[in-house]
Amino acid sequence: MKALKNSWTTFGLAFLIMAIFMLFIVTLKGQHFLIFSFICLITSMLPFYWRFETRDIRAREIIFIAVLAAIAAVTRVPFAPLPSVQPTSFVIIVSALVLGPESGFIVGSTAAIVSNMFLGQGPWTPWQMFCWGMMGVTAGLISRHQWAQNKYLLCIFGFFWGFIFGWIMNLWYFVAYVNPLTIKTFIAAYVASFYFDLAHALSNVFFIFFFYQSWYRIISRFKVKYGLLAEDE
Amino acid sequence: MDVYGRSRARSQRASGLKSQLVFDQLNPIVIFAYYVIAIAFSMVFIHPTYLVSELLMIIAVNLLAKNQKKTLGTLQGALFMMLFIVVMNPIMNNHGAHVIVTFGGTVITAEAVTYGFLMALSLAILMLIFVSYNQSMTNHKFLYLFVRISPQLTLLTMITMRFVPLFIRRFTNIKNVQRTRGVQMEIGSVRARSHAGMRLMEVLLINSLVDALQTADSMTARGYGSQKRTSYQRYRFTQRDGWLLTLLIAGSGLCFYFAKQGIGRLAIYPMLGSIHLDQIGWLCLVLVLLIDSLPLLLEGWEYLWWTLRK
Repeated sequence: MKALKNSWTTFGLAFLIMAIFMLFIVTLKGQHFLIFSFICLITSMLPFYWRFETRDIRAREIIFIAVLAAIAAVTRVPFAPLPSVQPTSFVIIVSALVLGPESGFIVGSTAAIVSNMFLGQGPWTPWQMFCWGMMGVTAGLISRHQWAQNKYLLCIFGFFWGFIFGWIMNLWYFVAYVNPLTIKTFIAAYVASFYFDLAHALSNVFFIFFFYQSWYRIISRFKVKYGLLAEDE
Repeated sequence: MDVYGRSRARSQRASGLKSQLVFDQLNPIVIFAYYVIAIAFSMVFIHPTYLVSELLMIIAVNLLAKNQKKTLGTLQGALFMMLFIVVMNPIMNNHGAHVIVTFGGTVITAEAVTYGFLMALSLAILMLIFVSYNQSMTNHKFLYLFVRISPQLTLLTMITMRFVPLFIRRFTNIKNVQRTRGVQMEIGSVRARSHAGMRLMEVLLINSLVDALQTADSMTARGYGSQKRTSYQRYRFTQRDGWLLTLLIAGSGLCFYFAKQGIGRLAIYPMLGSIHLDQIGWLCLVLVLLIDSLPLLLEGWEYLWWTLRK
């Protein structure tokens, strides 16, 4: 119960920081929007990193998270010939369902930063870290409910995240460089990227539908067998 | 994706080929500060004179690091996005006093067109800064920044980084073995191939977890986590680094102060302002360019030192 409360506190803190900076952006009326959007993004991730850093963590647990993050990053390689089919999101969602929101965030954001270390860093790196990290957080938060074991509901969850991921990733360059921000702007940006987002969403559904159960079993077996990252103490 | 550790060639660093640039030999904190400031400049000063001269400067910095190919490639890659911004801005936004043309109810104003071009320039600068960043700020240097602030996270990132090439090699092995059983990714429909690929990933996951947890146990056996650890510092913070960092922070602070006064920002909405810069504007521009050209200045200074001493 204590763990549950803690992770909600972290989540709330991140949300609060984000809201404050959003307010800042609005009061500045779009001036210096670009720079504040980056600051907002980076500071909203800090509570999660702080939680990870202050946690008393064993070598086994660090390595466990590292393996999952590396698997998520590596899956981009064998699937490169298949356009837009990348199980990275799937790996992150399943890991978070087993390990909870905080570890889910760390798996997602580490996968993003490490895969970009090999593919080249760019202005998109913090956005990817944020998206995949948040994907982990939300998956971890729903994992406490019974209905999260339902494969069909998880498919819907994955489908929505496919689109949300694409939408947030569009923000970094489109919304930042096109002025002003109207509903029309957003719709144009999202229509332009619809095909890619749909592919991402459908591949999430595909992977969750066929592989969710076996991956969930594998990861939870290791978690139980080695007594890793037990949340309720 | 050849970048992914397919060849086992040693990195330049490992084989003793250190970068010859003075800038690359500075402390990572200074290098990182330089890039953060350069990026901030490209976003804060939205004025044609500023942006064009910043663009030229960053191209020069890239040429100095012998990044010609990458610079061209990035510019080509960014061209589509830049075009998109230039086209979208006037269509989306019809504020502004100077109307150029009206068709089908859409008003194209000079203000929106100007804004689009300026934003496209800003994007180009951002992309080029990252070309230089990827060259100068190696992963080791990046992680060095966080070693003291956040040792656990740095350790995690390091281990993950090391796992990536290892897992790719392992994956190739698994793929070859599984092919004899008929599980393969090369033929079939997209669905069949994704299915096969995922089966292979599953094998990799179990295999790697077993292996890695053994590694973890051996780490524990050797005393990891028994007490607070000290960390090895690869880079030294010299007096030169100290001076440069002070200058960078003071100079950029002054520039941001000017920016807050509205200097170096072309008035666009509601009406296009004059492109003319006053004296403080020029002073600020010179300051921005001096900071942006730090790698060039250092190189020039060393060159002068070398030739004059002879």
